[in-house]
Amino acid sequence: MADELHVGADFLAALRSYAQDADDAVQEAVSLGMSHLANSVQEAAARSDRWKEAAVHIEAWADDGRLWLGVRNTPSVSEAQAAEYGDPLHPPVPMLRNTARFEREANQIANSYYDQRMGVR
Amino acid sequence: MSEVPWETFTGHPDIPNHTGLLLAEDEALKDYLSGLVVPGLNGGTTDVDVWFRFPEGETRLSYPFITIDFLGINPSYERWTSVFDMDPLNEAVFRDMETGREVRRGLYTPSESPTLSVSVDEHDTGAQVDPYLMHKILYQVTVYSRNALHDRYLTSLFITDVFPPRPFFIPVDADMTVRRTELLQMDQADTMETTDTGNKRIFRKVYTISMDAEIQQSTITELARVHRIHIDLYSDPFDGPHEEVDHPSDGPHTLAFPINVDPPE
Repeated sequence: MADELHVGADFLAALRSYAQDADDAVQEAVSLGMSHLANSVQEAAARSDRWKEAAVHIEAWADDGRLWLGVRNTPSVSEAQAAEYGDPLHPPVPMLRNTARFEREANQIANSYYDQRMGVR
Repeated sequence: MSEVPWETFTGHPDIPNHTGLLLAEDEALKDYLSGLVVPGLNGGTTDVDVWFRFPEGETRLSYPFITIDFLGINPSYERWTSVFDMDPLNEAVFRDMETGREVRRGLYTPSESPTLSVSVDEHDTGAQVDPYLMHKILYQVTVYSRNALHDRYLTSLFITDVFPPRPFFIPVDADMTVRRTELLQMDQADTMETTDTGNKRIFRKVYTISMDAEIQQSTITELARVHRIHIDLYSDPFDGPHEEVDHPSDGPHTLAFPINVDPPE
């Protein structure tokens, strides 16, 4: 008779519980990161004359498996577009396209939260 | 507060020759976009001009036209390597763009020259070069048209050929490199223009692209091979004056002999 590996039901339950914890931790970490990203871009935009009216409507959201940063569903969309891409009278102020620094910070925050939550060294 | 005078720069932007960081890339992008034409509405063709930023009010606009805006430059940290010395004689391979044959090996000076600013000879002189640091330059390229057909024509060309979905490469004459460039985003920003005769449509398509550029981490240190060893020996104790630092090799306390470097096999 071949050797078999027997595991108790407790082991599987513990594994499922850990996986669920990890999943929850990832969701929370991503949410923290996205929140930091949106807030940072908002603060930077609020300091710009061109963006200051639309800055408060900048948000981050998830849709169709992707993360988005922008202005949506508000009367400020056209104003935000003019600020972001410019017009014949004003050069572009690329708040939404120049977020590399904030993305790195958001990444660090998300990773730190996950490590701390899951007790990862 | 005392002022520190700038005496040594790592970068050497040169306006007349369009070399140096950003000057070279601006020139390269403008050259890349120049030469496009659209079919004229009444036959013939119409040139598409390229401008840096929107042309000033006194410039007579000829539609369609293209504007280039510099958005920013960001370090590409994921492509930075650990600190090590680059080999000024062999680090990069330069090939003929038409035949693909190797032309030479060595290093270039980013955005300035296809060669280093110091001479490097295998037997005599060398250079200590810190790794170049990769950055991404963000540009916004906007295409303006007054005519829907011209707008669609140019958009079609831009998506398939000018800024295709795959990475493409823009040649930079200043340092004879080709820079990987990617289309990050394409947006439509059609608008209206109010004139004396009423409102007019302006078709506007906005392309955000990212072009690679390397930046020197520090000035290049020129190294000279040692040809002679010169040792001053003094008895102990010695109360006399020591020789000057740069004194002739035939002094009474001096041992001097040349170093011969064997040629490579």
